[in-house]
Amino acid sequence: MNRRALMVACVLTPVVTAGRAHAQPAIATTPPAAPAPAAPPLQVALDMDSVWRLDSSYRLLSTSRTATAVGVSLAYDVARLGGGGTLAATAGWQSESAGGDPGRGGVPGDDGPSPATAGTSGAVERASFQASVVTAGVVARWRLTRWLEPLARVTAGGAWGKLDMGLSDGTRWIGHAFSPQVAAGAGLRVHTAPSRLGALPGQPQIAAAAAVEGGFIAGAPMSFALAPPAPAQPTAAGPALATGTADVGRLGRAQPYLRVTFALLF
Amino acid sequence: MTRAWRLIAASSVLVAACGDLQRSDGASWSTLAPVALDSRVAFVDRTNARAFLLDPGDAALAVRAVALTPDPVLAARRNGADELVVLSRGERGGPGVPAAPPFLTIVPADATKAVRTVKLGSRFDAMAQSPDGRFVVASFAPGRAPGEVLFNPNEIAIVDLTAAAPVAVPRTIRSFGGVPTGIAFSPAPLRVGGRARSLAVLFSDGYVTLLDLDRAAQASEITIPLTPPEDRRTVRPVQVLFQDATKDADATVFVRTDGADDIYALALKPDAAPASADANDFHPVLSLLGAGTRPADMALFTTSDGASRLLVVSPGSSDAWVVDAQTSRSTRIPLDAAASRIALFTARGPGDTTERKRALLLAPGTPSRALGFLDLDQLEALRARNLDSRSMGAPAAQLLLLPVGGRAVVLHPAGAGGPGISVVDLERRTIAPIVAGVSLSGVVLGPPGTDRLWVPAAGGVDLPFIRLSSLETGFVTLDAPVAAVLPVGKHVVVVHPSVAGQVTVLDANAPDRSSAHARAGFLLDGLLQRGNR
Repeated sequence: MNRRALMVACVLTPVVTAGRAHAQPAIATTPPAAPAPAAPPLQVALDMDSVWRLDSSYRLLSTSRTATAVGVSLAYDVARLGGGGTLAATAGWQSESAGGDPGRGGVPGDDGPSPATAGTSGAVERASFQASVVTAGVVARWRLTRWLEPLARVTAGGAWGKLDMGLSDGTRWIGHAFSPQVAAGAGLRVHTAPSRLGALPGQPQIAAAAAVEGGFIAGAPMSFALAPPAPAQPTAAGPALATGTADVGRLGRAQPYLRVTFALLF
Repeated sequence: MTRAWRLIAASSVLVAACGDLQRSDGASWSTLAPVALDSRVAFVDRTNARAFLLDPGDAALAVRAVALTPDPVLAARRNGADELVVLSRGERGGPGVPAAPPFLTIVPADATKAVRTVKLGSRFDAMAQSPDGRFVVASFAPGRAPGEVLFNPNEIAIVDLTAAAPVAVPRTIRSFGGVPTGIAFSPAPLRVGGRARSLAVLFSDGYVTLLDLDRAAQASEITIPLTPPEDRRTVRPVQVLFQDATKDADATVFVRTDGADDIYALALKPDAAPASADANDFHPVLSLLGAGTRPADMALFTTSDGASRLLVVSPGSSDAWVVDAQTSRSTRIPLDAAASRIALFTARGPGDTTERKRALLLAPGTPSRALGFLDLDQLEALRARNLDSRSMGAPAAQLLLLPVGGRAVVLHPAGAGGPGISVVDLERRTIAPIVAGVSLSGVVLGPPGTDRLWVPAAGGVDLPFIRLSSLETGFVTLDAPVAAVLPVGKHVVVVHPSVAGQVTVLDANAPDRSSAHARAGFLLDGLLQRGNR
């Protein structure tokens, strides 16, 4: 018997029992313990991820290996699994950013080239990276107690990244890149007992939930080709000459994550 | 995979994930001046130790990045080769910074050829190369503190780049308390005692040092004081000329100095048998040649009867001098105006249909507007009668003698509205002024086979040029100001002052925006991966 049938049975049992009271004498028996109500099937969540950068290339953007991403996700229970399990389909969007002043490096003890050999000097004064991640996948949960559920998640999707650098001469270089990714993780979800919203039509159930989940994102590196700024002023000679792009390199997208989720269940 | 390896791998991931990232040292960069090779333009990023070789013949202006050893301080085209020579000082080392040895790196323009490196013994910061590109001498630049705890400023390293496996031969130059201030090489091997050899002359205050480069590992250097010990004058060598041996005279080295009125002539006499294994097979004989007051330039020429003469200009006395080194006889040629620069050329003259050796005399950097044409044939006899003076529209700042076409170009000091440059017809001895509406910053001759002279303007986006065959002027409007103009192959590469690296490549024969190619941002290539370990 699946859980939905069980719920229907629980709701209908008192009614059926009341109808038969007039026909048969009451028998003194110990009433069976009522099964805990299942959590509502729709989850709307606010996700906060901490990712650990395994790729040192992010050091142009930040000296911290950790970065925070926030997003929203939806999950809906689509099937019951054996052993009290539930399979939910999920989709989500997250925004991730990093950036700041990378500072100036230089050669230790550098006294600079002689004037006759000097060229130019430049620096990245400001650099920022933003990524929008869209994923879809499945989450499997098992009901351990009435409020605790271990879960496992597998998702696939893509990240659209934007790298924006401001150089010391005031120019701004911007590039975009896409990275397909898959992720897998496991964690725990806790939720409250569902309550009915009596004021709404149909008296829908609602519950609150929170989850902690750890996993690994395996994404293709993002390769950035930054476009130079347009000339300050168009010349009378015609449109600006195409100057190509600057292939500044890759940002790795293979990284572990820790997700904290706060959700409402409907 | 064993359990131990799994533990190590897991621990590595954990350590990598937990530790903070090092601040990027690739976020800033400083480049050396761009270097024009035969087929590429090279930009050397000093901070991140890499060279970017841009191919102007490629429509996409492909850039090849080549890793160098740390702290490249000098880059130059290897003479006679399509290669870049880079002197790197390496890394001295310190807490958390591993030491790296200094290297000389030779980067061929052709990507299929291997990059060669020669390890150096010290962290030199100056280099010079022989005109044929065979020898490179690394040394310490005078007057600069290279950031060392201790260093020997008289140490040099000699590298023969034509050797099968080039190595640096270290030497410490004998010193009388001075340090090398410059190096000059014989333009072609000198014949001394029946053997042709490449010589290097090292300048130091008060003395010069002769090095036989062909025997750099064996022969000791020869040090020649230019003043007696009791003489307290500072005599600083500034120019050297080499005269090969003739049937009547030994090979001779002429040295001009700041601080002495005489020219020093070092006749190189062969020795029959060297006294020891490290002895040289020649010795110099010093003589002093009188050449007026404060000689400012000198040039060697051969007379019609095959004799060698030294032409010296002495602005201190507004004279030129013709010196016979064999007899030490000097002949004074009075000039109409003081000159400080000699440019030899071969051309016909007015009323003279024979091509002869002649000299152009002028005084760049002074208020003088005089331009002197001096016929060198029978100069000692005819003296000032061989001089033909002209006046330019403005003082001279820079002289460029064109290798073909019988022309010279004089750049006048910056100033819009006046004569910007003058094109001198060396045969007709005419001076054609070209008026500049902007301040010009230099004169660059186009690649061989082209007849355009490029005269970049200071700060503007217009790049003016002159067709030498017709003196027709024109310009190409670019998208950014001009920092440098480099002739490369059949192209003219215009370097713009962008910190990210920006060039525009023009067809040297048909410069036009429609056929131009541009590239920007190549100094940012690989920026995210710089310094990753």
